[in-house]
Amino acid sequence: MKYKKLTLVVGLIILWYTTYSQDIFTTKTGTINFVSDAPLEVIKASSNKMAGVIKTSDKSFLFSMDIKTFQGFNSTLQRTHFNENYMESGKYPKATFEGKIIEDINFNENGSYTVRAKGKITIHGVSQQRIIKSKLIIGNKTLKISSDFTVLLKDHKIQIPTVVYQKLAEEIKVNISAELSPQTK
Amino acid sequence: MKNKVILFLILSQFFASIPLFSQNLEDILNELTDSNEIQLTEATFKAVKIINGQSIETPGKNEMVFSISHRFGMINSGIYDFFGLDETANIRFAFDYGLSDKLAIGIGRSKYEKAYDTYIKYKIIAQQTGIKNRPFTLSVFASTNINTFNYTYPDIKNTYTRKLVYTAELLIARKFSDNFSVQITPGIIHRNIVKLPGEPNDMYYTGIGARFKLTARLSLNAEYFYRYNHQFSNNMQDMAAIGIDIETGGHVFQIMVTNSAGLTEQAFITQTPNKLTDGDLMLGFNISRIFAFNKQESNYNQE
Repeated sequence: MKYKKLTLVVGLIILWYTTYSQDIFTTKTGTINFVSDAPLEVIKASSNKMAGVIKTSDKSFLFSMDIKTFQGFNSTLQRTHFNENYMESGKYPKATFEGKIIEDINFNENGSYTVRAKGKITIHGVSQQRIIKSKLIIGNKTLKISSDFTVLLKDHKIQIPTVVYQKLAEEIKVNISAELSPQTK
Repeated sequence: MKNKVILFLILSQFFASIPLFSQNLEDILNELTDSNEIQLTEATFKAVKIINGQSIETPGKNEMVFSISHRFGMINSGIYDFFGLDETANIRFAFDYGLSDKLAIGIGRSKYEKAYDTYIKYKIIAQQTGIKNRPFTLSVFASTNINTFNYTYPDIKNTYTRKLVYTAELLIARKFSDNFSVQITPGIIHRNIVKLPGEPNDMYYTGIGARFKLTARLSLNAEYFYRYNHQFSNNMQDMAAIGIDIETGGHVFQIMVTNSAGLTEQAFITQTPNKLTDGDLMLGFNISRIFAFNKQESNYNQE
């Protein structure tokens, strides 16, 4: 009898773990691209090191990326300039987006959905409440998300000096895509 | 017994909802991302030169830096010469090209002595943090100069090899913080022929340079080159310079006050007659512009 009880307890613990794990989807290789399309200069950069978690049980999510992993730009000097003087990535190493999906989605049903993600986007240490439209594709044990949105530099207190006004867009176009898979313990 | 099990189940549901077994999203994310990843230290200096001397920086792969350097006349020449700005003591045009992120070659032409210089610079160790910590950057620099000015000593035969000057330097730099970098530059210059009797053909020296970042786009730079065998150099002086870097993401402007008109190692280390104590200083600037020949892989899908 005693052993039965123990088995039950152990079994339950394992059960929590597995049920718990199944509602967590993660990635650390999400892609993020941005473009600054200004009259005098086009600047593009990308990173494929965006990390993200989606918890399907309460539709919450958190995406995070290391600013220093952005590659591209028009020169090495420009990249270090981006890190040092615009993003101040020494001080604010990460950009994050944290929140919940508004729509009720049945994550057990495969298909393609357009959802709105509502939450707090933090860039350059400054947070903004945003609702971002994304495409969500539910597959067999995968979640694919992709989204296009814009970020206003002034929303995040990133200042453009007047000298480079024509070279830097005030509105940065961002594109993200990621494939998340169930968390492995 | 049954009741106990039910109670247990209820309790377990309760406990499961508090973060004993559960983690919040942030913890999961932190577990995912490896904070030990190697991070190269960037922007120890902003240009390929600290002021007059070479910095550990090289242009990135397939990037070309075109720089124009200018040194005016003496500031203490007074208002008649507009504090030296009426004169041009020296001009140098130079192209630096990054063959890789570590290896760079360059070519330059100076007004002083009508000299052409070529160089090669290689980054052996790059400062980095992460699993492997490397506290400093080490680069090597070697250059060959040829002075093509007309020889004024008819009794000395003016051969090609006699016009050559060689420089070799170790560049050791550390970025201590976002705002402070220091470089130490031991080096040797060999001149096949020297100007004055008694001057040594080999000059040994150590330079020290530093960068203090003042604002996002402005930094204060200083440099001093000490020559070990200076007593044989016929009153030539050590080079000192202080200046600011203004950087915009594509250009770097360097404006400085220095006692040397020399724009290559052989000129500012072995041929600086101006004494700091006499106030023999001149204004100057370096402007550099970066051209990148990298093919942009555009994976941004614009609708």
